[in-house]
Amino acid sequence: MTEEAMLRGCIRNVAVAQQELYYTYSPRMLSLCYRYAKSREDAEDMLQEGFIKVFTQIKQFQNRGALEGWIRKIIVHTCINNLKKNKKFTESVDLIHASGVYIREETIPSIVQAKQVVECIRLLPIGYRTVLNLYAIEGYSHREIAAMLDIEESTSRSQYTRAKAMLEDILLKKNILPEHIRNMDLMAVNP
Amino acid sequence: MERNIHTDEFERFLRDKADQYKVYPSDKIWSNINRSIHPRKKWPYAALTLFLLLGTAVFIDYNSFNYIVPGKQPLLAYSHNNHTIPAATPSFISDRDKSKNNSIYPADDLSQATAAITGSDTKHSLGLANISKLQQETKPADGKAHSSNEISTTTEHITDNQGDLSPLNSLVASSNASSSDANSGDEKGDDLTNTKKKLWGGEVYRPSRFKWQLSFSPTISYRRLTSGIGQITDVFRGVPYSTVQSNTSVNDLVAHKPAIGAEVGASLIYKVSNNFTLRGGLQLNYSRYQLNAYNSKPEIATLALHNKRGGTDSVNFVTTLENHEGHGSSSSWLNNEYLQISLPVGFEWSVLGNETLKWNIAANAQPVYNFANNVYLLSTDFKYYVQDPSLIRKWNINAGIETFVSYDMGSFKWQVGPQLRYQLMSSYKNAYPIKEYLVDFGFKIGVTKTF
Repeated sequence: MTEEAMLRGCIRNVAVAQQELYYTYSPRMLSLCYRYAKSREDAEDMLQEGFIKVFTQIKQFQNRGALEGWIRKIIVHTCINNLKKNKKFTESVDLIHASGVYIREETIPSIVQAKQVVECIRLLPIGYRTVLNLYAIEGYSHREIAAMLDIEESTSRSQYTRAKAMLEDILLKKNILPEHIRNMDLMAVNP
Repeated sequence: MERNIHTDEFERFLRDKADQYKVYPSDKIWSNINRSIHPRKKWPYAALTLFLLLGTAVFIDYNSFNYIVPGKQPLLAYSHNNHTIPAATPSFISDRDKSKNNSIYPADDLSQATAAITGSDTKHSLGLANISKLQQETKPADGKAHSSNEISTTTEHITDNQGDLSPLNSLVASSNASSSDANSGDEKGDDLTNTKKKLWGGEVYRPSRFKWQLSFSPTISYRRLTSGIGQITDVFRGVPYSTVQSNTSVNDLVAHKPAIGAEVGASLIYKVSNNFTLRGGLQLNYSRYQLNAYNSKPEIATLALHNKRGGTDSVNFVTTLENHEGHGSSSSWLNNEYLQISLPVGFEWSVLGNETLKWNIAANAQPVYNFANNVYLLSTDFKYYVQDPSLIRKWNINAGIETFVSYDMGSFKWQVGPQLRYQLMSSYKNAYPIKEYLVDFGFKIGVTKTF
């Protein structure tokens, strides 16, 4: 099914088209949620809530830009809203809750590295992690992040700087950071 | 959204790796999404089932309808096997009709029959009741046929009674007039059906004191927990319990919320007076409420129980459900469900209204048999939920009150109104120190048919 046919079907509330769209984008979107969530189960809850919003609001998609970008935006906002709701968010990932959820790991080394990078991001404190996800990966500006998280723009900047430093440190220690970025970082430190 | 600033290599690296990483969700997520965006419409099925039940009941009632005429006298069988009226046998009567004991014939044919017997004036309508009387009076002791002369004597009696025109006679008269020109069997057959319909529909009807009723009620169920911590911890001596204050109510230690259930019932109603009726029947209830629990790693949960010697026993369960949020746990709403069959016995009282529209109140007591359940019990330390069906009481008693508006449509009566059902004994057996009382709020829709 082409993306256009899928979109038309979703607008008409056709279950087959909705399922197709879900299976096309859900792995990437769950990965996105996983970077924000405290556990895989929470990530699935965010994904579920986000896709329900996608299907109920899909008539508002004006065909301007990519469908994936639009879906991604909804999922990111769902994750942020969820984080805001759960003030008592803790950092632990309870492995018990991973039961029933499985991660398909592909055997290509770069994918293994991708998983390691994501897991390293998840090691960051929640505030750092959220700002880093929004700024470095999703591409939001500090002003937009400040508005989304109800914080000062300067706070977003400082959080990001600390998050980046902490993540670089983790990646360096785990020897995950590629050579060219490592050199660039060293140059930045000692120009 | 996109920044028009330099994106350094590190950020590009993170973005690439994040995009490469895919996590595949479990199948239940799509099921949940699909169920949410395409909710199953349960009410049409429930309504359809109700109407099918009603339709079946009405069909059975129609076919087994026993005609009762003014004067409390059921119409007797017009049996051709017992006696013969010369030239009076209606040609359209089928063999099946002849063999039925409670069959009835259109008045025009009966009038024609009488005319053939007596030669009397057929302008006067002849009531079915009188025909009944005629049949009784003309029935020979020896089973032989009467002559025309013998019967004419009886018809004088009928003519004398013309003044006693009941609504039924009016019906017959109208039937007579409308079919005076129609002699074909089909048209007469239609008359029979029409007469039957009019009688059954209550246009000419003497209501019986007995009625039956079918009802359906969507309900919202909740519960009330009793037993203060002080009482419970007395029972739970020797069993570790939480450090909550002793005057805390158990209700405050749990998070629960109401949920939607249903009730269907059938009742037999006996009219004692115009305003007061007695009612008994059979009822099926599905009651449930939800409680908030958190997933945990497997833990040992202890239930302390009263034993028959007045002491305390305890039983241990392995559970993964916590009452309070633990470290990194996620919550879910569990259903506590009860499926019950009961025998409500009570009364109805008409408070206000006229013959058609009335406001009523009713009350009943319901012995209940709890034949299926899915119930989570709170552990002694209030930290966990466990399941132990052996601690759920099988027999219970409920009290119900309701108020409703009824609309009378002849032999049918419709009613709608709110109802409340309260469980008088705890859902749990006495061994379990916490007491739970279920409460169901419902909106009852019922139809009552007079026998």
